[in-house]
Amino acid sequence: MRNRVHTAAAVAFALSICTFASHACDLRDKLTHAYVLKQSGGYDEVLQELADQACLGSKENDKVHPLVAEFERLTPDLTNQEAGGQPSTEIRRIETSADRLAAVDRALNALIQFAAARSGGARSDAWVALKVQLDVIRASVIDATKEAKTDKAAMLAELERALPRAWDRKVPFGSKETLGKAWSGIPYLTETGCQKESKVCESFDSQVDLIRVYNLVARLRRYMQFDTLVAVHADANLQQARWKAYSTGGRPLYFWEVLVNGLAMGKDLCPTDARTDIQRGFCAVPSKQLILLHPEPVLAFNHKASAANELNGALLIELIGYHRWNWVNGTDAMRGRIGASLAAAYVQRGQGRTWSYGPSFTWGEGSSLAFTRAPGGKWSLLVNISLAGDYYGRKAKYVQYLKSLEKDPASLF
Amino acid sequence: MPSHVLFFVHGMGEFEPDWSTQLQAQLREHFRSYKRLREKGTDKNFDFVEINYNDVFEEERARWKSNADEAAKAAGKDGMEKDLIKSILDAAKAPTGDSFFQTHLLDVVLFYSFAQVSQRVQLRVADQILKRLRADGENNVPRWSVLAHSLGTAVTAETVHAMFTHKAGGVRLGDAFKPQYLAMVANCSRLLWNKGGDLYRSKARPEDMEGGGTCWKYLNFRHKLDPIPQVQPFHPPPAHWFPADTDPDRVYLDCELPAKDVASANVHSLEHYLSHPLVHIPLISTLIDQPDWISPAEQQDALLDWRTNKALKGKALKKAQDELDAMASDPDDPMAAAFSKWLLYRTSIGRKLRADGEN
Repeated sequence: MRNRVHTAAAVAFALSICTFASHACDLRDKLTHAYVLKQSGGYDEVLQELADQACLGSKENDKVHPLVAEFERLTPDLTNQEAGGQPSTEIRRIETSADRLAAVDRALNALIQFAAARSGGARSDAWVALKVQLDVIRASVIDATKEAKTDKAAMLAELERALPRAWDRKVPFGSKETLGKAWSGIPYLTETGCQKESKVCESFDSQVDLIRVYNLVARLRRYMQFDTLVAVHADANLQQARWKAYSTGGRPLYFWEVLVNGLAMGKDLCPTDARTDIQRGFCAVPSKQLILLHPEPVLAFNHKASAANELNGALLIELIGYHRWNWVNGTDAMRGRIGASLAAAYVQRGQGRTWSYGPSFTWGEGSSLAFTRAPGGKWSLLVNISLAGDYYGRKAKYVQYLKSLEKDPASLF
Repeated sequence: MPSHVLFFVHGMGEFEPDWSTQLQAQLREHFRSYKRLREKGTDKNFDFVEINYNDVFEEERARWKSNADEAAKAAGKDGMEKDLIKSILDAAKAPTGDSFFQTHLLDVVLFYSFAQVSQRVQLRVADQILKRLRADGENNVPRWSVLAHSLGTAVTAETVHAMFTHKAGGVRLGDAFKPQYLAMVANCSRLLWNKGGDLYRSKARPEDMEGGGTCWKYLNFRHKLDPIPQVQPFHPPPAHWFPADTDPDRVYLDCELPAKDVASANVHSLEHYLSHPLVHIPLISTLIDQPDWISPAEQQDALLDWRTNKALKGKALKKAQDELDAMASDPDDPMAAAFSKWLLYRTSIGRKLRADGEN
């Protein structure tokens, strides 16, 4: 078996020798006897180097190895979406984790078979220990699969326990004794005991495979939890999109309003951890805005005007107000936008301008109007540019329609 | 394909895309200046990726300016003679100019005091990190680390904390995606921490058995004369910050560059920090997880070379030191006092750089 694995690896690498440049991850160079001879530390130095780099078991650098090729086949992309896809779809994706766990189970099985085949040769102690560990991991993954349908948080916790973060570090070199506290129970490498002049070193070959399997397990660990990456990324994208809608689709705020609205974000939007009193996660995007000293250009409505550009401009200052809406579930769409403020307007009156006061209302896609009255004067109707454009656009269309019916539009206004 | 992504996170100021190109080249050059790393081509194991978030500040400023311009137009000439209107419209434009305060320090104010802006910055950074982690396929997610500078250290600390405590679809981000190393240069994360509680209990700390932290090692780099990280300095972290039963040296490195090591008065710049062997050697050694690959002799040579060929000497050094000393901040300075010193510092540095013909 030893010879067969060794030969298979040698053939695989021989087949892959074609055009390549010297590279940190160039296994076709590093796994040759010529490379070993060049290193002052011989086999041990090469082994250390391979342990430091994630070349063995790598998708790009080690794909010709049969175990790696099998791993690629067993762990396909399941979300099949580019980053930044529809957030609501991606957040729900976590509910399909059973497919992923099944893929993980098949990949683990392949690694266990490989470890079992290696257990009779050099470093058999490490291979036996590794196989035991992989069996335990596989059993935990099967447990997590049961949780997947009911409690996703429990499933993730089970997966994290099954493959702890110790697997995220490079393979340690030494022994239980020399590693001391640093030894986390995962396989470790030992000196090969081979002279570099020797063309064959079974301990080296065996430990190369040990690193390969170790690195594949580390990759599997991230693959196993990939749905959490998708879900959190999708939710981050959703929050980003909502902030954009908040800034542009809501009322565009001035900086003092951004400051005040930020201060008003309480624990309902930014929950805190009871133990540390630190905010948890990203805050949810508010669905309300406090309006404060908010200047806005408006137009004084005049029923004689036939287009928005015939209206006099004025400045409305919303002294204090409130604007709210609902987020459409899982999207950045806003529904039911409505708001009211107390406003002051600086409007044309006779030859000059004067202050008038009254309520202001906002609704829908940014339409707003205000009724204001100067002390001792008449009420004025002020509309924002969006509403005026909308009104006169509709009016013009209606006039056109009436003309087409040969009626006198003047009689209707 | 590199297996380890190093994210560069910028500090305050006007950063455009590709802002880190020179810095990336500088760090690769440092990798290659040491024999064993050069021979092994170690830097090729790393993908350097820059993070941008300055556009969030720019978008806000542009929106405020546009709002103010439209309102000013509506107010007309008469309106601008009214004190209230003029005051409001002047205030509305206040954050939108080109002064150092408006383009640099205001970033810090916006991040610290404007929760809505801060949230958008964190989401922008998280999006870039998560997008990169997803880019190579589901079974090929790379390991990652961060090299953050100045305001970027606060942005990194808050973003990492938010990423690993956020729940989406009933789950949080798995521990398989935790960063390997957090390297903080001119660390302001304690001063600018604004998520409540105690920064030292956040996720921006070394991993422990309870999963309280995130990284394997936390690196803190500062210069004795850099006034920016002096207010409420990050170092020393309290005992509870360290994982229990762990040698602190395994999970934390604090490096303070001495006052004599000044290559230019702009000691705050990331270039200045990275050029120094006492910064880039531990940074590289940590990233490759090999403390011995740069030999003690090479380390000494590099330091000697830096001090001989790059450091200011004689009168030039004394002048720079005196200037920087005058701007030193007290660790207990209130933020306003720190800001005024930072402003003074950057104004002085700006004048000096322009005098030297630099941008």
